[in-house]
Amino acid sequence: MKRFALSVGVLLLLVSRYSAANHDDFSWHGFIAQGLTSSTDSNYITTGDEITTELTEIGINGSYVINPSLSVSGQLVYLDGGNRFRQGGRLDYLFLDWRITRLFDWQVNVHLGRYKNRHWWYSATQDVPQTRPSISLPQSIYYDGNRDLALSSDGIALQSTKTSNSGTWEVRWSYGRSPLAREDTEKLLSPQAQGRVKQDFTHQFSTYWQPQSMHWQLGFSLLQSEFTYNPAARDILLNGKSGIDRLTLAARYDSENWELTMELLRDRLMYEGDFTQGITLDVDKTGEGGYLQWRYFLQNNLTGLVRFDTYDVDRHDRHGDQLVFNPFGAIPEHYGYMDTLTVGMSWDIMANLRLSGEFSRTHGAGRLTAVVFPDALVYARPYWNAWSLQLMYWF
Amino acid sequence: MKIWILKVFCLSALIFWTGALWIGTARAEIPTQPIAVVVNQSVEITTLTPAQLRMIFAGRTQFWPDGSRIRVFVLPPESDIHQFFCRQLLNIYPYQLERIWQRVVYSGQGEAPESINTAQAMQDIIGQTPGAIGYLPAPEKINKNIRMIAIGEPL
Repeated sequence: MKRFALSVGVLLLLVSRYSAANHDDFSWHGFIAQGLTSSTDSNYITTGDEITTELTEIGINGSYVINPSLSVSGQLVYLDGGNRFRQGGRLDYLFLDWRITRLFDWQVNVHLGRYKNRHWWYSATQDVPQTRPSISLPQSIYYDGNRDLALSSDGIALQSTKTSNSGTWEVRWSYGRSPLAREDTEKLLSPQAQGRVKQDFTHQFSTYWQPQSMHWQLGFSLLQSEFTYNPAARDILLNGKSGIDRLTLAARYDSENWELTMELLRDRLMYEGDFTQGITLDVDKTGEGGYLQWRYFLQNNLTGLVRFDTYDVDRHDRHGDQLVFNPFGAIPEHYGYMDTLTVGMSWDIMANLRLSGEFSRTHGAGRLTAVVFPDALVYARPYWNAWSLQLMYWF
Repeated sequence: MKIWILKVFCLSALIFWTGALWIGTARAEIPTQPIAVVVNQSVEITTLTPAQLRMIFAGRTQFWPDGSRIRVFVLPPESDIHQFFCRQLLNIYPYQLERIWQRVVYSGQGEAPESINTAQAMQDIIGQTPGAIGYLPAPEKINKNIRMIAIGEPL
């Protein structure tokens, strides 16, 4: 809370500079979005098939250019996504942007502070509704359960963009850690864990290439992260270290009237620690998944979307047969995978006002459960649906 | 994967393709026209490569070599001139450019270009704004405070 208040203070300071300084050096923007949403036969978004207005996203950002080499940028957001993630305010980013080079063909920036994860297609603006292709992003990659872990971290990030007549080449590297809330422990380890998980570090690297024709963009990203578990006084987990290694491959093709996007991932999850009654847990499993998404620009202001998203929690148990041997108790096999088909439509009513709607049909619940020790505490039948309608305005 | 998922996916794709082809035929062709890139007289640059021009209009290059701010102006996204400028000079589709702007603005990396309603207003504001860059449809007579720059490889 103290950290959040401090961040609000820094942003207010930025705003106050606006009145004192050259207006050209300060800029600010924001967005507000409200919707209706529901999940049926699953508690992914709402409980008991109810329809809710808990689909709110509000954000405000400011950027102040100190001199040609330095600027400072920050964004505050308020998010409410039903059961999908923690409701409330967040400091999305607040960093010092140091432009190391100011060449026309080669830009190198270092970000110090709370930097954004820029390593996946939509991660840099995942909480900004009008920048997303759909209201919910594919859960194989943009898993709602660990959004606070994945989207921004405190530390250092480096970004290089080199362009020439053979194409544009981007390289990104970052090292930091994310402060985790109590809910993040439940999403990562298990809702039955009473203690807290602390992220030791997250280390990421990615590179993307776009040829001169600008139709294609190809890239990959690597992530390595480690966590330590601090148990509560009375707990079923006595200690533990966990790690995640992630490889993501990404491709996008832009045509005159349509866009095809794909990301594939392989996640290796490891956990080593002591359980009550002298049992040692040693988990090492690899999940695989990805999505293929096609957007068609029907008119300048109308876009259609079709997407298939798939994720298997353990590549050696794609049908979830082994979940009956889960250390926290047997759970249904459909918690071992998740396949989702989504269709959606967006209508740009004005230049900065959009109405989006989507419907998805899902088989499985592999992304509704905790990452390391799966459970069935988030209810879902083997087949379930979700829909959302959202009006968004930005400035 | 269950067969029904595949069937729904194929059916959805078919519906989209059919609708898209039907609606797509109604799209207007963008008329070709000569376009000039213009800057404020304060800018010392005389030539930019297509890649450099794209970096500027994408919001990635924000300062001129002398350290002064680059002020980028564009015509409304739906205007034929902007559509043609993106395709012909930047070699990207307008929606790709808007996607980049959104990412730049909402992840704290810079500022999107300012949209100006008419070519005449564009000429006026570039003339009045130090460090400004924009484009105009084949200007026969231009404001004395602005000048055209060449787009191509340096000699």
